[in-house]
Amino acid sequence: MHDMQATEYPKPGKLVRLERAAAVNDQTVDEAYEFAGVTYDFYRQVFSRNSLDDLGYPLTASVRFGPGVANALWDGNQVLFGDGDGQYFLPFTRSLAIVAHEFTHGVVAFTSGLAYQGESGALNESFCDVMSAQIVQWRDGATVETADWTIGREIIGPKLAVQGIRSFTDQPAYSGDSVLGDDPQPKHIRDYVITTDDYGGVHINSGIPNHAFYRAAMALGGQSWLKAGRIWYDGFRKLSSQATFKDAATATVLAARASYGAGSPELAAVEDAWKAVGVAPEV
Amino acid sequence: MRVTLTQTGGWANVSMRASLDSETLTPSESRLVHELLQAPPVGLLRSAARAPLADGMQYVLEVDTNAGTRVLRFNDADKPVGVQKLLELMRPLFRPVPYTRSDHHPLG
Repeated sequence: MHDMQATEYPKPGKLVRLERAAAVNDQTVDEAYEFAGVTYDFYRQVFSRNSLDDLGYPLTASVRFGPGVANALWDGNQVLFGDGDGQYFLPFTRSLAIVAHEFTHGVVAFTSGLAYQGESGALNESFCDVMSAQIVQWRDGATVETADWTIGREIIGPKLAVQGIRSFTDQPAYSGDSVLGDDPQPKHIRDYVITTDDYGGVHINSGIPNHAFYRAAMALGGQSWLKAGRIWYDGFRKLSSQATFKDAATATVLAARASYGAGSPELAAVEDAWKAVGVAPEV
Repeated sequence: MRVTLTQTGGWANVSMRASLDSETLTPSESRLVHELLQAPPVGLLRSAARAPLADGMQYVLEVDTNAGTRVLRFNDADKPVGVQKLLELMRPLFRPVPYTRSDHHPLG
């Protein structure tokens, strides 16, 4: 674990906590360390994956990235967490979902390599959200019924009144908010947003595959990582870098069929989930 | 001279915007802005284009002067040389830009 000390260069910054070292009594460092560990343990125990590349890739993280940066990102080698602006956003290390999301960009980089633009970029973002939601639920021992399907609660600053940033359900995370306005994420392909912002709306249109995962998980019940999560993990890793939503639907349907067989309720749940968001698998 | 910086994307994907008028800045800040923006290409040289960073930000910098408006687009992966100090100056001024559905165009 490294500390950028409110700068952006040079990375990864000052080494502040080694692997297996004791806590250093610095909340930002220690929570990032703990959440990185939860993320590693989830991939190892649930999907038998040894880190980001399945070969033990070192999980390098830097906290306090830049002065007042309200963001977290994967730079192709490591994850970086800003401390927020203190007004609208708190430190991004507060959220296990965000830490898990950023490390999962590394899993994408070592598997499908989904290009970060348009539909493939939205799939990249969605896979990271989907895996991060499972990791939080796994840590909490939650079922799909008891799980919190909203992410980003922990980083909401004092000047925001919203309850989270993104929701997997059919409801927006926020609506008509005086500061943020409306949650931009669609839940159906007919509402796909065409924009030049955000690399073609990768954080906007990810709402469509996110909602498909939610519907599959709810239909299958129990703990999301056991069936729906496994199917998504198996399917998404096989996508090409330029995959479309239809490709993702097809890959997850094929993954469900391979694991549970034709005519299984698991296969039907995945097919129905994609159809509900307007994406027809090509099988 | 008026400078407006809009930031989009990032994990939270909340657009943020800040504006400043060079005449209201402290002398050292004003000097910095003028150095960065009135003497291109030294201050605003583009770095080599790189693939986007996952959850990286995108930026639009608009500079209004008597001679017109100049617009520069960049992202966290290819920030122009010299823009880092301007970002640090303007970031504390950022305020969210409320999103409305009509901002974009659904397929239909």
